[in-house]
Amino acid sequence: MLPDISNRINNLSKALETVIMPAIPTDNSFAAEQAALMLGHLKMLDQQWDFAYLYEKGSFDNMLALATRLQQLTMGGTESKGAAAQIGALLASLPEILPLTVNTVNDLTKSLGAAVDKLIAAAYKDGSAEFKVVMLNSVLDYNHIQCTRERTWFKANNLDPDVRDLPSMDEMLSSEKFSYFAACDAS
Amino acid sequence: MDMKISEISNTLIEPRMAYILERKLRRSKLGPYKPKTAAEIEQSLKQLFEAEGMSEIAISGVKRMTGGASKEQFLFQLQHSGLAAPQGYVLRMDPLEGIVETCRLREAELLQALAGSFPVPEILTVDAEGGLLGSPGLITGFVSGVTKPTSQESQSVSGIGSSYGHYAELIAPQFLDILVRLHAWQGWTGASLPNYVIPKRNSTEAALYQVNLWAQTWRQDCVEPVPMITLTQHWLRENAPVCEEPCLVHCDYRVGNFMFEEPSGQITTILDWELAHFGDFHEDLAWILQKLFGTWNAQGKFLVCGLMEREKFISEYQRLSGREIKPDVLRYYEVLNAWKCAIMNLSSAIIAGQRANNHQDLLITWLGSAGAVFLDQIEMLIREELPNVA
Repeated sequence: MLPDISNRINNLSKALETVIMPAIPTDNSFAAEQAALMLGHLKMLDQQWDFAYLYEKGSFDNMLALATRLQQLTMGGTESKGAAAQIGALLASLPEILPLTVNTVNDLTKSLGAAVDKLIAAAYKDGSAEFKVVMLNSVLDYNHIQCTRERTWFKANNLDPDVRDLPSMDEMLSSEKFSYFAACDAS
Repeated sequence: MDMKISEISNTLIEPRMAYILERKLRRSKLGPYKPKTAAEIEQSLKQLFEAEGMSEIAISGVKRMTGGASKEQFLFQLQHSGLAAPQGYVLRMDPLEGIVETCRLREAELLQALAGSFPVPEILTVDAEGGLLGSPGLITGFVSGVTKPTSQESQSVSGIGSSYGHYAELIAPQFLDILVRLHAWQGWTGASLPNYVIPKRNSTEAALYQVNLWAQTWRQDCVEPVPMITLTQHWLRENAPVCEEPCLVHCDYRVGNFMFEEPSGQITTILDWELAHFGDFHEDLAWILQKLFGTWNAQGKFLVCGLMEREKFISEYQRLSGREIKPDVLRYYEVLNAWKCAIMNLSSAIIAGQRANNHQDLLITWLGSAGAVFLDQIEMLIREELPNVA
């Protein structure tokens, strides 16, 4: 791919920084602010684009692990069992080989997430007390790992007060420490 | 949870806010939104002031204000037959949708009620439905001051993460004093606030009104499912605390939302009352304590809103107010507030950016990327609440 994506993003940033931003009149602070935000987004995109598929696949794996775990452990009344059955059907319908684009993998994650949401709502209606504890623990554990991944993915936004506690992008994407799928597999 | 109670609690939503969310659905289809030009604003203002009965109207110096992730704001000078000299005003107008959906009419009612008792901007007029301005808008008097020290102006666009340097010591006591007085304010009993609902005393209504409002926001704006958001909603319903005595809460009382003068450090105005409602005072405290609004000082200590350490904030509030802060209720509202912020960031901000319906699409998309910070916070707080969960 020539010119490659990094090259083009960096050219966009350079044009913005060296030509367009200096040309903005000093009294147009709205335009200056928008340009600064554009530059920030471009720099973050440059750090992310090459890892986007890996990131989305990791998110899918984690949601898949959560859905599978909750579906296997569901105990309760008809609403809970019905929601678990829907997850079961969804899991059975997943393709054997994952699609190859970021958006199509994200679509699968969303459909699993919607089914998990239904099970959570159902469990608060007629889930057993034991299952509700398991569910709470599972969602908290999943959330911890997935949140750390997402905060790392977006750490260049400078909005995270605990940014110094986050791993590097490489570590987040490659270490099993940041995979709920691996954590469930191990237990 | 008892189904009957659940059904009843789901109906608790302030009627005006239910209308505002429904109106947002309709307005969101009118996009994409194009930021207004100074000429368009001038024309709209003229129409509004003519309808208000003003004559010999002259509008000048229309200038967009930067920052602000929810409302489009403009400064301008107004002259008319009733004024001896031109005066400065601020127009706050709703884009088609933003990171948070609120009501200019409620804001105007409240500012009117608070005038004279608290440092709030003076109301000139309100166009609640945007019939004349093109979008709902509120016009207030211009107040001098800065929201962050001018020596540190480049820190951020929304005030988040700002630090006050030597001004912290000057501002912190005033910040606390105004908060304490606000929670003790009884002026609402005689004020005209028809678009507010006061939750019942000694009930869980204060919490449930908020849970229902934000649950409805999530339903409307959800872009993709987030299990932690769904789980937290149910957790909040099951654990709603009783509020003995609801009071007025600002609910966005933080760094960036007050102005002060330099070099005195005197607070001149409290801004952004759009999220204010009647509820539990712990809700305000929990909002102020959020990590996103704080900073680390040179000694490595975390400062609440860049002003003071958490323990000092809590002990001083208790001392000045005579109120007892209940740790479990404070934690509940910390969860509620982090959940609200996660909803703003992960649904309302993202969907407004996707539909290009805001004047600050780039900014709200940027802020949206902080959603996981709040999810992380919720998880930590719920684990603290339930030690057996860890």
